[in-house]
Amino acid sequence: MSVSLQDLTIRYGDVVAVTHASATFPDGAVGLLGRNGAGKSSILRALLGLVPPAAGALRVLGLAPDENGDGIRRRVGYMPERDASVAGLNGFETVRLAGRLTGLTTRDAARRAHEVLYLVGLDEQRYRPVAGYSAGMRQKVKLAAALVHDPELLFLDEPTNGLDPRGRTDLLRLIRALAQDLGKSVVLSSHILQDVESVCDHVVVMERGRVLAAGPLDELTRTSSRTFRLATSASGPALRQALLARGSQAVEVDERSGGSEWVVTVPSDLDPSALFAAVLDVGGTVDRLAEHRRSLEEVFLAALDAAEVTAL
Amino acid sequence: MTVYGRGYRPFTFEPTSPRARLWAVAELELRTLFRTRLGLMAFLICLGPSIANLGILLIFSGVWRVGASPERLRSWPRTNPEAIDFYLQPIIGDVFAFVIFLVLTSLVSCRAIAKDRESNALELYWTRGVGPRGYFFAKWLGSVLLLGSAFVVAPAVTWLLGVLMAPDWGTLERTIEFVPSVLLALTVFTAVISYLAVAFSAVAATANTATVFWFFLLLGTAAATRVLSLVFVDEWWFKALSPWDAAKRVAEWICGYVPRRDYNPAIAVLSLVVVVGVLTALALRRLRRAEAVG
Repeated sequence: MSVSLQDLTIRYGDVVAVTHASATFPDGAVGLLGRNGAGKSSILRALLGLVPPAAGALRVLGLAPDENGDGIRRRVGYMPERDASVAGLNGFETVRLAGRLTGLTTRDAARRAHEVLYLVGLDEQRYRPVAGYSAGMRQKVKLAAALVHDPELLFLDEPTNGLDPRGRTDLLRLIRALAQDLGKSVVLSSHILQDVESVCDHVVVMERGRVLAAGPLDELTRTSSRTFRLATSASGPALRQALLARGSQAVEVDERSGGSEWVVTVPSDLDPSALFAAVLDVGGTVDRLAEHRRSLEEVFLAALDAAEVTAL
Repeated sequence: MTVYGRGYRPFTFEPTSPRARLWAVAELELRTLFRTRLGLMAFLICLGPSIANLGILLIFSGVWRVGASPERLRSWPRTNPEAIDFYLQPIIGDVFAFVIFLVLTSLVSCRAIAKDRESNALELYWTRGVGPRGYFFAKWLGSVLLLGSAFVVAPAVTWLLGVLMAPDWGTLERTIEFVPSVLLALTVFTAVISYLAVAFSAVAATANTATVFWFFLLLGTAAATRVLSLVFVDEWWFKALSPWDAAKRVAEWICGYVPRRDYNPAIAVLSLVVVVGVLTALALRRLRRAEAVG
């Protein structure tokens, strides 16, 4: 477990940014998902010891930020949402400075700066002033600065902000590789569902300072074990009738040439193999039958709806 | 391609000491002016008084033979390398010195922290091994070292050259009594003025605001004391209202120099303590982790 929050509340004066948030972030890639202003950045700042919590407790790699801030900062790499660089420095100097501030010797910091700038694809531009970088290059230099000391845990706050589609894909691929190839734990804070979905194995959904849902992506997107996605060569009302006759609820989600695709909910007393029989009854064949999963967007919207119902 | 294929190597390290981390900040500040040609030119201009002194020294020692004779130079304290005025006045004494200090502190010290705040660099420091107090100290140290190289090291080098160029050890014997205290006075003066400028920088929201307000603080209070001098003809304590004049009086007191318009240095010390105290409190408040990144 890389991070845990227990009943965390964060305030800025009278403004409550996070309220009674509890969640566990296991090792691996975890998405902190929520709209702008949901409290994601506040949580990251509290985890880094930048903002003291008004109430509750938090742990990062088993350490409390208020007691062992230095120990955490040494083991954690942070990529802030905003551009954050010392004016007048080039890419190499920026990353080397980040290394020296974290506790690397000047020589090690310089060597690591070259390595991580190459890793993020900025080796050709490393001696250009950061002020002249494009938005994508600035994101990359921030990631390089977060990686310079080879941290165990990375906090990435909206890392794909301002990137073009190609740059976004490259960066997400790199983040995924960091988690998978190097075994780094990554907390990816984002409001972009696809980013989280493509990188993370675990998600914490936030809205208005509250944790609405949390868990493995696999579990959150799974519907009941009795719901299937059925692709078949058959189509039309006849198939629906055949499925209904067996007590199954069926919704056609896609009509394609030479067939159709359905989401079918099977009653608990019915063997799913009965679906094959239903398709055969109307003279069709089953192209594919798989457990139906919701998209992360559906999970997110369902969590929002549930929160609104609770609020009412 | 995996991250290993892209040349990534796992890395372990023993963290350097907090002092080494702060030195990284101070070093950055020390080099600020030398990053651009304009900054380098500004620095060389600020070395003007010491370069002028070097010229006088060359004439005085007979290396450079122009109109003025060594005896003639000796007759005026400002041009006599064996007098305290020769080392003290070009740095803190006249209007030119004031302008040079104003320019250099405006370009370096009073932008030091404000420009980091403007570019969100404080977040970079706070999320690594540097805290607000250490950061403030490192910025001040870098600033003192930069200003000190123009206002302390340059006079010291000038004096050393004067001693070495002299035909005998007479210059050394006649100056050794006061030069160490003059260098100490210049160090204290530089440290106080740069501290005020860096603290000002920590309070201001942007680098340009800091520069403008710093400019007005030094110029404004200096002008105010000139106006007050018309009212209090025989009293000079009000000069302590100007941080520049107060620091100057303290420096003069350290090296035993008696100015033409003398007043109790305790008043100057008190004035500086108040200004330093207020600015430090405001600066540390503005540099709190939560406020700086909020």
